[in-house]
Parts: sequence; structure tokens; C-alpha cells
Amino acid sequence: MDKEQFLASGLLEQYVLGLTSTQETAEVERWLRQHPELKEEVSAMQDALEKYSLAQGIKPPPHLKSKILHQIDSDGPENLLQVEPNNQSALLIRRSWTRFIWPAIAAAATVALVFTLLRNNAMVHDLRDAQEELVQTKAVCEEEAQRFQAFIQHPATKKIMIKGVERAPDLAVAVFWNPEEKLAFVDTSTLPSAPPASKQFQIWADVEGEMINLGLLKSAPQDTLLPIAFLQKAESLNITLEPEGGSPHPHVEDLVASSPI
Amino acid sequence: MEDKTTDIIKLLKHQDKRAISLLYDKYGAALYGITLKIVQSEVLAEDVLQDSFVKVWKNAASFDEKKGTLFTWLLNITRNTALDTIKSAAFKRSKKIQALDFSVYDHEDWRVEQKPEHIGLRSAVDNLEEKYRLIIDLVYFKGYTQQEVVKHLDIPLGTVKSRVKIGLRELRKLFAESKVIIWIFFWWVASNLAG
Repeated sequence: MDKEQFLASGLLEQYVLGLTSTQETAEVERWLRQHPELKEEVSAMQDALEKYSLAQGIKPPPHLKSKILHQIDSDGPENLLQVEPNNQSALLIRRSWTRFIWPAIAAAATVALVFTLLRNNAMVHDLRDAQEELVQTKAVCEEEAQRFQAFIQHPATKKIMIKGVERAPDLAVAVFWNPEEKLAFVDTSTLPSAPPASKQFQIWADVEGEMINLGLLKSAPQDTLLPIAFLQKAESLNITLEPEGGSPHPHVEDLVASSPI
Repeated sequence: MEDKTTDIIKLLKHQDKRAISLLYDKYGAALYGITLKIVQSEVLAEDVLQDSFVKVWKNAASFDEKKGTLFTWLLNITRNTALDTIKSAAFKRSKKIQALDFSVYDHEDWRVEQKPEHIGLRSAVDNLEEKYRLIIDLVYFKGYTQQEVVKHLDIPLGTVKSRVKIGLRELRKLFAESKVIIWIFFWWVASNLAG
């Protein structure tokens, strides 16, 4: 087949219209390689078809263009990387920022979510620990309260009211004294809530004329029983107002309350 | 016009969104016209055109100038999208594609709004003989194979092939640059005489 025959065959027209089989396409492309002038024929036909299409165009609805551009704005192109054909070695990487904005937001959201979950988990743990602690404390408190209750109601427990001396006639400090259990407690609710500045109450036992320290008395925030030392031989209980931190020996002139047992 | 196309291709390859805007301005009407011929519904055509331009944008990097012209590439994407749409639309209606009546848009009901660059081209279209126009519409716009044209028009394959060949040659004659200028001149003379 010579060139004239090839042109007369109509294969080139079929090729331009995409009607050729794979085999015919290969044949046409072989002709195009061997006779580059035929490429002009092809492009002239393509050009005519394009003009023919343009001539029959129908104007789309006016809103369509902005709709399309809007959708493209929210969608990135499929290809991440693009190699510049003229500059293969430089491997020019082009990115469209819109392509990365959604994955970036998703990644940030995921990190935030994981962080929140971990934090939540930690908080749940802390909460559980606190609850357990609370339950334990409550149990301890109840136990303590029961013990105090049992102590107060114990038949051997005596309630001693240490009466204020002349200079503090209103004072009356309650002490629970149990020689059987060898335990003693001061009811702090009966102490003056605020002792004079830089002074502290101290309790002493009088044993054969000697004052022995039983403990420092601090007014507690809540009404509570404050343990003090128990002395079997104590004959009386005395409270003095000592300098803060207490004294090894009582200042008898500062005695505020005293009662025999 | 060639230089403009080259610029659009460059923008497209650089994933510059202006490419889509320029492509739409240049080819939007042509592609919409072709889509209407296939789907025969303005609502569907709008969707098809939108989907097609999104595909064009997403596949911008796959366009190869060596394999074909920019318009051919756009046409292929749009035509395939349109054909898929009527296939699924036909499927939904439980009808076969062949059952669709293509005649509605084959006639002259649809006219392009005359843009300066298209003045004269329209009359060139009108000057292509009906039998050739029909073949080119079926094959080029609607993606028919020659066998499908044989069935659709009930004419022998040899006739289809010769009409493809002659039709394209006629088209080339009508739309060659010099001819277009003559058509523009005729159009100008005619409109002046009419006016």
C-alpha cells in the first residue's frame, strides 16, 4: 500500500474519529512515523472537528461555571507529585495546598481526639483512685468514730470537766479518761477556739506533787477527740497557757484550769 | 488560538485552577452542547458537565499532548461521563440504551448563542450535508462504533465507512481557516443585505 492508497483507504479519518481497532491504530501510527507530513492531515482534521464542535456549542446555565469552580476549590487534584518534563533531575514537586488542608485537619482532629481520649482515660483513673481513697477514708473515719463512740460509752470511761480557775471562770475542758483501757482524750470542741496570740494550751498531770506533761492542746478545725498521754497515777489534770510549742515544765502562774480526777 | 491552548495546557500541568476557568470559557459551550445531545436533559447535562470538569481537574496530570489534542481529551472525558450517566439513568428506568430516542436534539432546536469567534461557523455547520452530519454526530459526539451506526441507521458498513471518510473531508473543507473567513464574509454580506 503506497501513501495514496493509504489516504484513499479512509483509515486516517477513522483513526481521528477513534474508530480504528488496536491493530489498525498501530498501523496508522506506523504510517505517521514514516510520513511525518501525514501528521498535518491529522491535526487539520482534529482542528476541523474542534471548530465543528465549537460552532454547535450551547451556552450552559450561567451558574454552572461558579458551581464547578467551587467544587474544584474544595477538591484537590488526584496526583500528589508531578514531574516537570523539562527538568527531570530537579524533580520539581508541586503541591496544591488545598490537597493537604483536609488531610491536615483530619490528622489534627485525630491527634486531638487521641489526646482527649488519653486525658479522659487518665482523668477517669484519677477519679477512680480518688473515689477509692474516699471510700477508704470514709471507712477509716467510720471505724474511728465507732471506736470513739465505743470509748465514750465504755463503762470505765469517765468524763472529767477541767474547770477554769478564777482568771478564766468560763473555761471547762472535757477530758475522757479510761483507766481500764489506759486511754485519755481531750474534747477539743470545749477548748477556746482562739488562744491568746503566740500562746498554746498544755495539759499536765499532777503525780505526787510533780507536773508531768500529757500533751499540747491544739484547737482542731472540727470537733474531735485529741489523744493525750494517760497516767495511772495522775491525781489531777491541769491546763496551763504556755508559749507556742509548749514548755518542759509548767508555768504555774499561767494555770487556767484544774480538776482532780 | 493555538497559543492560548498551549497556555491552558501549561496552567493545567501546573495544577493552576485558572486552567479550568479558561477551559470552561473556551470549551464549556461546545461540551455542554455535545452533552445535551447525549443525555437529552438540561438537568443531567449540568451534572455531567460539572463531573467532567472535576475529572479534568483531578486527572490534569494524565493529559498527554502526544496522544491527542486538548479538545479530544476533554471530549472523551465528557462523552464517557455522559454515556455513563445515561447508562445508569437507563438502568434505573430498566430500559436499554438503544431504547433512548436521540432524535430530539438532532434537529435545529438548539442554537448556540452567537459569539464573535463563532460567527460564520454556524452556517458552515449548516452547509455540511445531513447524512455526513448525522454520521459525525453519532460517532464523534455520541461515541457510536461503526457497527452501532450500521444498526442505528440500517445502512451497510461500507456506506458508514465511506460517509465517515467523505464527511470528515467535507468538514475539513468547510472549516479550513480560509473557508471560515469566506463564510464570515458571506455572513457579513448576508446580514448587511438583510439589515
